[in-house]
Amino acid sequence: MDKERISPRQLTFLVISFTIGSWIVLPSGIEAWQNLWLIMFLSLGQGLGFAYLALLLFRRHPGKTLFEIHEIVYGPLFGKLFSLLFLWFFLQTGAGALAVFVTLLKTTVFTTTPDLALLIPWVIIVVYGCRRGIEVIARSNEPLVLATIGLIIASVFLVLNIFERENLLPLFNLPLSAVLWNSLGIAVFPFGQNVLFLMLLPKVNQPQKVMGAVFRGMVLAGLLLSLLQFLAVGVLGKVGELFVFPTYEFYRMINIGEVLTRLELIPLLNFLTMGFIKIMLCVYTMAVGTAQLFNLRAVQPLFFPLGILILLLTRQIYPSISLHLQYIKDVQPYFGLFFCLLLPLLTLGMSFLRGGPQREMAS
Amino acid sequence: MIILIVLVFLGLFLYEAPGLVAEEYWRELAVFTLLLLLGLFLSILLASGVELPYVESVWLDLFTGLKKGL
Repeated sequence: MDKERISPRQLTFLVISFTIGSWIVLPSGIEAWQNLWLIMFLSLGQGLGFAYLALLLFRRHPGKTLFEIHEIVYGPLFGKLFSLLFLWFFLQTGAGALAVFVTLLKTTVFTTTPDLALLIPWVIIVVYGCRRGIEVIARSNEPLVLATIGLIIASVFLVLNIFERENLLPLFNLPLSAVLWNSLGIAVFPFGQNVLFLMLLPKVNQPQKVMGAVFRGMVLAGLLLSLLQFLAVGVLGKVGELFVFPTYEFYRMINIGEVLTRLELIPLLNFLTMGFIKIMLCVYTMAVGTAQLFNLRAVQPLFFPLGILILLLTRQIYPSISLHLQYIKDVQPYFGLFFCLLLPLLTLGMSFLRGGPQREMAS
Repeated sequence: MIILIVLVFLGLFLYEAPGLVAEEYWRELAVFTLLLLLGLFLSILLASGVELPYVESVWLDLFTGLKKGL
């Protein structure tokens, strides 16, 4: 389990696909709809701040995963308690992403297919990918990310004839409190969830390049999401905020000379691959985390039970998409802030207080 | 339905466990079995129509309760 290594470039790509993940189909902070692409930059700044704190923690304890750091900093008992909290966070993140994608498929393409018929093959593929290991996930992620980036950039040209500049106005029409609240929502939902990578950083073969790799990935993902949101606002206009899945709707509008129409399935399939990577990473980190929690030597056997747990939780994550939207609006910022900022900050503070011999850098 | 679920879980157990026993990974076997039993328990509950709470509804109720209290 410990022999697997990924390169910093692969880490960058993983960060991109994890960040794009499910936000691309279900944006948070939707009430700031027309300003969302600008607020994205504000959130990116906050997200980079969170990531910097988390990476400081990794620098202080090079070669250790988050759960090992917990045990060093808080001692075995409390360390395991904090690790359990994070296990729940990974579980809910993965199940939430899976639930969003199942809802997306059920409302758009497979309208009469039962949930389980979508979920079971999905989970089997996720478990299969995880059993192959992080190297395989990282390598298969590269072409998928490139395809997604290519598609997002190509869509700039596809929407040229339906893009209306007036749709972008009015800009800056929000009160400051709304701007800050929504930027926080975005900072924790796609960007903050990258705290998960603290479990994978020890597997990077050049530890001194980790910080640059993570930052590059987050900035690139932020730019892509902002571009996509910009296009969505330009195409859909004010009504866009009424849709649950605005990205999907805006690809539906593409119409080039009555020939290139109904392109929504291509981005849908493309974004599903990002969702796959996100859920796979969640299951993988959960397995690694569980293995460290119980001092196991092998992670392989844990993937199937954890996949089943994610499947079951996906069915119990929300009864309807409207409740999920309310959750994203009201609870997600606090929930995310607790895990993405508060806990790593607390651990960092405790680590500094305890001082000790962990000063040496992995250079 | 419940018989089908038990069969699936039994199949998973038989697929994974012999390898673990052969390599004497006892702790792994214990954790694996525990997680699998948890999954089995939850699936049987869901399959027999027990109304389990939804995760995000619980969080929403908790946070609205907290906000009212403050």
